[in-house]
Amino acid sequence: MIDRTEGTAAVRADGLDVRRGGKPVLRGLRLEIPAGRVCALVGPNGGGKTTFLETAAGLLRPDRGTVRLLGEDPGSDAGRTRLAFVGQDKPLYPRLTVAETLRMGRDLNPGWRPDLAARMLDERISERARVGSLSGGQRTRVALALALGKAADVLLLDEPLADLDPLSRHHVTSVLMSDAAERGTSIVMSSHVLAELEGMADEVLLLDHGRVRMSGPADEATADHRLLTGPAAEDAAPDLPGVVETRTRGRQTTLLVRGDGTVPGGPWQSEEPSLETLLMSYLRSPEAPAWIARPLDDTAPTATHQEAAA
Amino acid sequence: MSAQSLAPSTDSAKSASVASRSGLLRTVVRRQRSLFLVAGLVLLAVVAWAAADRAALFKARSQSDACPPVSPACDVTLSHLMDAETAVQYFQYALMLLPLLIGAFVGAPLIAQELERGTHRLMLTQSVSRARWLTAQLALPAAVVTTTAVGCSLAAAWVRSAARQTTVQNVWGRWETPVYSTFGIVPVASALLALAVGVLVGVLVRRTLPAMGITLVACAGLSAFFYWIRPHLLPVRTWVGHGGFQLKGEVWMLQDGVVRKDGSWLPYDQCPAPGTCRTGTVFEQYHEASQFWPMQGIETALLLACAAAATAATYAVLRRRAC
Repeated sequence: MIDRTEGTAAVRADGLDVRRGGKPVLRGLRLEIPAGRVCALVGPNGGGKTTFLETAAGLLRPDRGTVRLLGEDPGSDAGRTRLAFVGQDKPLYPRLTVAETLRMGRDLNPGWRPDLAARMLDERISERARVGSLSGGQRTRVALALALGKAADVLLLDEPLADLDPLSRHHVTSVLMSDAAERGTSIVMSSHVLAELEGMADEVLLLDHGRVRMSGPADEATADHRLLTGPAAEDAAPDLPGVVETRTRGRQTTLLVRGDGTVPGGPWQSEEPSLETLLMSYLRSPEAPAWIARPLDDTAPTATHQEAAA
Repeated sequence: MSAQSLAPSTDSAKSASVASRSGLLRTVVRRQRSLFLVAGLVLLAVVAWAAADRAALFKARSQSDACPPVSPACDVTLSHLMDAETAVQYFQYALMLLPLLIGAFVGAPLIAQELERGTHRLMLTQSVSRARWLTAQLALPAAVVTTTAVGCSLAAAWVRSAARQTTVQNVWGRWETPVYSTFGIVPVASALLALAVGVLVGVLVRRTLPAMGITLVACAGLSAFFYWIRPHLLPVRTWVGHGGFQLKGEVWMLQDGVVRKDGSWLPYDQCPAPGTCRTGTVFEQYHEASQFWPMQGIETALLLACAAAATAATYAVLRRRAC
């Protein structure tokens, strides 16, 4: 079978404007998340994570611009069958049992895979229990089971780990990771706690004030920056291009600098920042230009054009 | 876009819609199973009430036949008969309220509850389009409401026939509002309109409780409107002549009075003083018996047209509005 996802982004947003209650939430969002990757969608509350995921899931209509999932309109029949979405509040019908909820998934999705859904559950979640009687974490597992059983190509998960205990979190992440590995599923999952996603995400997308602040492979992001530490003396800070943030604490100054190139000598020590340090620096420095590993070229053909050319 | 590249997705979309048509129905049935239960209970209660009213009427009649209330000792049989009549009228009033209750308790929560709980997001990200999801969500309650309303209409006719056999009251005429509104096809269409209005209000308000309240008010307003417009649905017949009431059959008397010397019409209830309305020529304005079913038909068509408009608006709102 030909992999139709090849060469097509899992999610591509182009000039995406989305308003909510009259207020702009996404402002001209342009980004591309490659297919087959696990993308950590991070950013402060109100930064646009949920709105972005709901727009990508076809639940919100863009006011301007487009969003495409594997080249498809997420609101179309073709797009809808290829995506699975779990909302932040993990909505389920409280009066249905777990078994009935999964049967609903089977009834509503032609490609339903009960084996995939079953991976999310464990013996502590009774099939006959009503969803309304489950704990928050168990409900999340059922919601994720419903999404996974759909056997979609793109999983859009809004804060999937937020109300899970550490053990469940481990289980859920490993199920998601193995799905990504086995079926090549593209996963976009949001969190405002980066630590939740660090280590499992190979792609990072930082949204703040409805704009992209960072987008690209997580390892490239850290490799493309340097954390410089040196004396706090006023004139000591080196005049470098691409300084994202300068912080002085006590007698020590820390600089986050873009680029892996020149390192000033003398007292300055250089190291690769952790992903969390990097994201925090970008969030604290709204003036710093966004870091985008693969800038979208205005003249680049869109996914559908590429398909047509192929 | 080339046909070749499009083909797989079109195929999968097609198989999706085929695969999930019965699945969608199963899901909606599972979701709305309490509706079946409640509808069944309501029908059962209505039939039981109707049977009780009929039994009371026949019993009071036979008592009254055995002991005619012309003698003071038998006054009690008359009061039994009147009690049985009053019970039938309560039954009719209850059936008149049914559309309001359907609108508020079935229609308003139907989608509003999904919007309030966010479960529509769950449904709209399954492999089913918004329009088909909404169609399935609406079709099932519409079928249940139709069945219930037909059952209630038949029960009302059943009770009315007993009332006509046992009492001499003229409140059981087909044109009497409590009869007209619960008889024939109009109550079925009223119930469907209430359902459609409730759903639309729910989609607009997006919260269950306020939607229920607004639906009650809206449905009451619509009933008042149809009550007001009813006499104008068909041309009013007029009779002018000498003597008193001469109309034959079941007519709906709208207005009667005298024709004064100057040719103007004065309804009886506007006579300035006793004696001034005594003149040879009277007029009567009415709907005749043969207009009953055409009028029910026209009113039903109007009610269903409004229901269709409300449903179309529901689709439009849900298609356009954010989720």
